[in-house]
Amino acid sequence: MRITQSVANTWKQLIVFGLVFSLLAGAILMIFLYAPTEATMGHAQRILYLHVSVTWCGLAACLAMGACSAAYMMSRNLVWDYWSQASTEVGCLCFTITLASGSLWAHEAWGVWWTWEARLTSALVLWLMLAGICLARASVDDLQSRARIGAVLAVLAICDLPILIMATRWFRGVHPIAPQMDPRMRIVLLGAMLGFTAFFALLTRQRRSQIDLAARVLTVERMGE
Amino acid sequence: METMVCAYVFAWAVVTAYLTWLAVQNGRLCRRLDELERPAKPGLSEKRSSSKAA
Repeated sequence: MRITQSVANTWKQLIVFGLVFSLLAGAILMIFLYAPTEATMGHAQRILYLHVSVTWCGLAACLAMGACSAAYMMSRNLVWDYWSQASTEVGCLCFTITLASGSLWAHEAWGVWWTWEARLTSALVLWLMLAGICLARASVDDLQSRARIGAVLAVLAICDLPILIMATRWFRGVHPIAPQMDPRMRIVLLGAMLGFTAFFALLTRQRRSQIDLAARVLTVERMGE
Repeated sequence: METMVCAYVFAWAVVTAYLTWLAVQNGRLCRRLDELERPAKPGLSEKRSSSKAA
């Protein structure tokens, strides 16, 4: 019975992995083969599909981090903290790519690698906060204390989200708000967002399972002491 | 063209580094759990010792 269940789970996992990687591969193929080359920026404009999609994934990860941290603070159930930790790491990963791709885009479009503009600065602040949460979590051994510290810092970090999202409307800057796009470009951007979202969601789920395993190892180790 | 390649290669490198770290951690955790749970299985050491004696 257990073996049948395990085989069914393996098949289910393989199907999910196959589906997610097909979506991602499809999105990447669309970016390079289907999307038209922009007249002014040329091939460099294709950075937009990566930059926007990964930023969206980072924002979604931050929202998940905040929601799971709030759920942990209300229920004290560590399962919520595992989700929060996984989301924090994936959010940090996404914002690393966002900042690097944005910087490359800025160099091509504005002739500078970095400018202390509101949206860029708030994105950098959020990235630093996410990295700080990961470091703070790594420095605490006790699971409940780690969860509490992580949850408080996560709730503080998501206060930066409204500033990041509304920065282009609230402050004057050079970052584009919602540029006009060719319909084909719009389709590719939607496809890329779908592919990257599926991939980073799978990554978060896998990391969450691993954190669960690490907690199990820690509990068995303490039982043996 | 080079700028675009740089952006995609950087993203690929960051994701690959994270996936590699995940895989290494997974292997380490599974080995550790296996080590910790092995002596807890009842009857295994008895069976081994009885087969040696035979």
